[in-house]
Amino acid sequence: MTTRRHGEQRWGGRKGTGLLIGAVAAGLLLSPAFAGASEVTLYSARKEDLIRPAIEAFQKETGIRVTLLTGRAGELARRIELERGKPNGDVFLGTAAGITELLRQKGLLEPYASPYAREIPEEFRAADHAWVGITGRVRVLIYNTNRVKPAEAPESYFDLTAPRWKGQVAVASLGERTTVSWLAALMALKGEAATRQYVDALRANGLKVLKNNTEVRNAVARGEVAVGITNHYYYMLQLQEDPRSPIAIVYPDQGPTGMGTPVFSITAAIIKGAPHQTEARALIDFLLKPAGNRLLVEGEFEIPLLPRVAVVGADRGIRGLGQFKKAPVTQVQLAELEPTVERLFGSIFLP
Amino acid sequence: MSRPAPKAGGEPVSIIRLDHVTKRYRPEDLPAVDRLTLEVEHGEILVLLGPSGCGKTTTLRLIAGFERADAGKIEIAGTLVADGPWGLPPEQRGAGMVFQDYALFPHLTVEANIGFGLLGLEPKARAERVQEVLALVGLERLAGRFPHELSGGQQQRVALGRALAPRPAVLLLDEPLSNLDADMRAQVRQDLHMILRQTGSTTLFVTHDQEEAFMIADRVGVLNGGHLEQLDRPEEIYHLPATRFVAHFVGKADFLPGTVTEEGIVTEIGILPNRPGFPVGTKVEVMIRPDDIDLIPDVEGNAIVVSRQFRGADNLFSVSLPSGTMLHSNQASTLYLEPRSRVRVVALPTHIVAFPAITPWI
Amino acid sequence: MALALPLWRRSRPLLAPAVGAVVALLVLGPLVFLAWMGVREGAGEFLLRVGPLGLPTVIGRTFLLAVGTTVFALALAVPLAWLVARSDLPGRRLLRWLAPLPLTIPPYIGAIVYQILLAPGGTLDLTVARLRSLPAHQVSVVPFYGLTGAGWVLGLFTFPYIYLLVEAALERANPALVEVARGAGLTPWQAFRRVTLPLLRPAVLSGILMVFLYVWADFGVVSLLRVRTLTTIIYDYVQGTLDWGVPAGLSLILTGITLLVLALQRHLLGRAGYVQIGSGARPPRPVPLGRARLPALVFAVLTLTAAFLLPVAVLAVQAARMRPAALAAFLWAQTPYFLNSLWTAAGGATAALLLALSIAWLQERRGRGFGLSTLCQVGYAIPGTVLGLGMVGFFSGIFPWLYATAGVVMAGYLVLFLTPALQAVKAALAQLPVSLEDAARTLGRGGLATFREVTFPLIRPGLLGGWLLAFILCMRELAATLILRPPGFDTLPVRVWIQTMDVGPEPGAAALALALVASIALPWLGILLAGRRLIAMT
Repeated sequence: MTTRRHGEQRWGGRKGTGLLIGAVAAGLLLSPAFAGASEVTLYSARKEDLIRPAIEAFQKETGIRVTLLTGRAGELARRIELERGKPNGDVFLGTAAGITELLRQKGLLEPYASPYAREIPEEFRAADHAWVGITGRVRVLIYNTNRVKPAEAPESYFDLTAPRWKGQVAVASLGERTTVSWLAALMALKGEAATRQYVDALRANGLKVLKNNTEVRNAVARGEVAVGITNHYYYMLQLQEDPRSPIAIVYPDQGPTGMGTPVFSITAAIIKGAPHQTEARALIDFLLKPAGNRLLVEGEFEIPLLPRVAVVGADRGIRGLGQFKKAPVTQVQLAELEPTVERLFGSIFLP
Repeated sequence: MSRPAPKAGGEPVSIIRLDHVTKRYRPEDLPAVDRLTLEVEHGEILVLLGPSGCGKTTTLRLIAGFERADAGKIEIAGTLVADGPWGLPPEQRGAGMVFQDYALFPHLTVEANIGFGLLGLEPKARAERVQEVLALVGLERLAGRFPHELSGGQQQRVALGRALAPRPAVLLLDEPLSNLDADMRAQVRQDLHMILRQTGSTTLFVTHDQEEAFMIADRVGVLNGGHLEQLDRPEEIYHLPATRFVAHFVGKADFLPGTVTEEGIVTEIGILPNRPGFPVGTKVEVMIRPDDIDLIPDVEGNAIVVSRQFRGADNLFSVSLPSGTMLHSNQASTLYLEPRSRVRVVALPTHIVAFPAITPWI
Repeated sequence: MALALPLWRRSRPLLAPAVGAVVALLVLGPLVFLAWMGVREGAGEFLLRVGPLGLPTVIGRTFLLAVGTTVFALALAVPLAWLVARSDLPGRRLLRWLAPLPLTIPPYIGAIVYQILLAPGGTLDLTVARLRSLPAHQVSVVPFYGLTGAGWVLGLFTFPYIYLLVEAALERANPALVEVARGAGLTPWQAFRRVTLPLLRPAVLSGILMVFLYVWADFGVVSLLRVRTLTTIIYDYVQGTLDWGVPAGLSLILTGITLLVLALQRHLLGRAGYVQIGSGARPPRPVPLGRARLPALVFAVLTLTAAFLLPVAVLAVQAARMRPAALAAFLWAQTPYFLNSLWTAAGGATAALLLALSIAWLQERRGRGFGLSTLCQVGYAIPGTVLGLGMVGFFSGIFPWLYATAGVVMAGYLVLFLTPALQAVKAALAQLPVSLEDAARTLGRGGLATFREVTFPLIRPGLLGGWLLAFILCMRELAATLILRPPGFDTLPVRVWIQTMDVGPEPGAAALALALVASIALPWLGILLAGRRLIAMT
């Protein structure tokens, strides 16, 4: 493509170069790092679409501008760890307590006892107020109604090792924190050995490990697999996308001897040394107030932890706290077991 | 055209002086230029002649400033421009250069090329000088063209004009005619010579073509392996070569063994005057050029005609002597000597050049 | 004569060490950080955790994918190049313009498109189900997920690399050789096999290794199509855990493998690291295709359709599912991200070009700094995921002020794309005879003035080409940007990724993808146009 140029001046030249340098300089200057005051930076492991309503309401109410960085919890936590001492983020919104608890143990969180946190049940809070649960998510089973009649539907996690379900079960990889939390719950309730046996049995039965929970719900809706182990709100999200999706939901292990269905919470915490402490507290308060909390619940179809906020999707089978048998594990217990889960199953639950 | 006379009342001023300049490309190599010492006088055209690899281009680049010497001094117009590894950069030396590939700027017109070196002149003076140079090289009509639109000869003239425009103290030419077709070369050579004379430039010209060197040069320096073998006028180089190498390089040369006696040098073709003055008894080899001997058909002659090469303007005969030595002779193109006929070789020595015989290793 | 002499003026004696320091810092810093983090966690732990991962299987699988992709890409590229350069295929002039267009579609977008079409429950399955009156979930025509699908997508969207190299080589090769062979009685196929093919060896080898390396470093496609490779494992660990040991260790292994491939490339190709563009001999007589004309045409059309027209069409159809007003509003809302992409790509490309110019200058004109090329190529070989990870740690520790800004994204682009820029600049500089610069100096210009008045104007087209290449590569970069970007700063590829990952292919994502393709294709077409015009003028 290179040839000799003769005489004619190209438009590139000095003008073009100057313009380019000017544009780059302007861009650097205007980049977020140089932005003004009254703002808060949120590191959110929750998907952007789903927390946007709450963010926008917060901005409108308080006038504080929110800068959002979304990513997976692990990635965000790494940043927080690397930024130790000079953090760029103010608030961390995690998808399960495990990573948040890990951050607390590493001394990267700033305790804050919000007045609105009093109504959150104790098992969804850190003892020293380093983090607090915001909304809850239930680890359920969803199944494709074209392939599974309601009578045949599995009633327990442990049913899934049966030959009936060979190659028909899907779960998200460890990239999704809730998978980790779910395994941690099993370990807390059944012990390490039993959990390992269970996992081996699942694998032997052709367990499909998919990239994330969205793929799990898609796979179930399409009929690619019959059953998915996922979080309850993905059921709602699927119905939202296509109200005629042939899926149904099961709250497993509800029976008298059942262990109960595990519940996890998304957690919020202030990062130690956050540059905008006041604004960070305001954000946490907002998320815990019924008005703000409701936006998260409605936007994400999660179940509220606050008694005063109504459950969404009750008409489609969603049950709130107290309406089903909850597995008796605290978030802290789950958090403590999560590293073990990663170590034991890190290589298995990869897509 | 002869060289303009030197300034009245003084010795010719040397414009380029090289004093024991030496350069090696790598420490373990033989030197590319070996203690070279020469001077180019004002208005002189000095040609460095030699085979490829003899160091002539290196010398040029050393003078121009593109190479660093390991030792020796270089002066241009009285200013010391290099002393060993230290030296002025090329843009400060005032040496104009014409490159083998002309190196014309393809993105500039002929005019712009020629005017390129005229910094520090006001636009009016610059335009005038460019016109002057265009007229000098005969390219007024082509001022607005681009180099790729010109023929080889025209490009060479632009290169020359560009180098001359800033009136440099010296002009360096690196084999400027070697990229031209043979038929163009003669004409361009003549034009080049004329322009150099007209401007009275002090020129150092480098070539491997002996004919070219003789036609253009005031003096010729023959280089071999970085070493200056002889620096003289062309006639001397040809007729009185200082070494065998020079003898072979600048023309056809045969060597005839002989012994020095009191009467002269005794050879197979007769006794030749002992002009070089060797002591009696020395074994020598006399250089015989084709124009030094004549061939007379003679049934009793001691030489036998071996072959004839018809060259249009003349015939080149090769004859073999009883000892087996081969000699060559230029004869008129109309003279025909039958191969295997006998001839007598007559020497017409205006010069006698002889070298001590090389004793073969035993 | 006793004057004080100025020192022999070396142009910019500090240039080499300064440039070297910058490159070394940017390339080695992240790697050193990763090594350090890995070591900190303890090598023993690493082996324990990594054991069950089945690394040999993973590596073997990636190798298989790379080989399969390369074979597929070759099968597309070489015949196409030959058809365009040497045959009498009708419409080959048009084909020459269109053939490189698939390069404007980032492979991960290609993966999205083919996911829509061929994945279980996708368009193909639904169509077949309807035709055969079956419930949708019982139809699965193509085993799309896995090696097959990934190989298909990767091969389809990387074949242009090989195509471009081979086509250029064909145009340069002396046709007289083939004509001699034909005159000696060889059939066209024999002549091709025994004369042309060996001549193409450097270009083909270069292309093969480029594609091979690409597959090893790829993240987007294998991730979407559910193939477990080292990059996906690293990414999952980075995303899902706080563990440093495993990702760091795996990163170093992956980098080691890609460096090996690179070393192999250099060994096979020797010092001529770039393709030289020179004026060709007269063009050869086109080989008549005869009855093969129709199949050849079909082949060419199908390839282009599959690799460019179909993806664009699918994206357009998906985007059209949104109402125009909503679509416009959506796209308008994405403008900040588009601008982010634009100026980081421009900045990264400019930085890469300036650095490349310094390095090329040092190498071509001063004969120094060849180690720098190697260092740059190390940067090129590092997969984006690994580089992002390393840079995050390295910059947050050493240059925290840069870490908080988009500058760190540009630094990443600089490291990743310095090599292509360097190759373009070296090619441009090598074409310029040194005598031109020497001539300028004898006419009174110093080093800088010579560069400004002689060198720069003449290499400018080559520089522009190099800049555009780097720009395009930066615009579509995904893996490193995902990890490096500061809060609130997303680029267009990141937005497409987030949209697709979270919600599946939907109109918004498709529209964005289309916008991304357009923003890459337009400058590309720009250089093609300008390039043709330049060539036509000489």
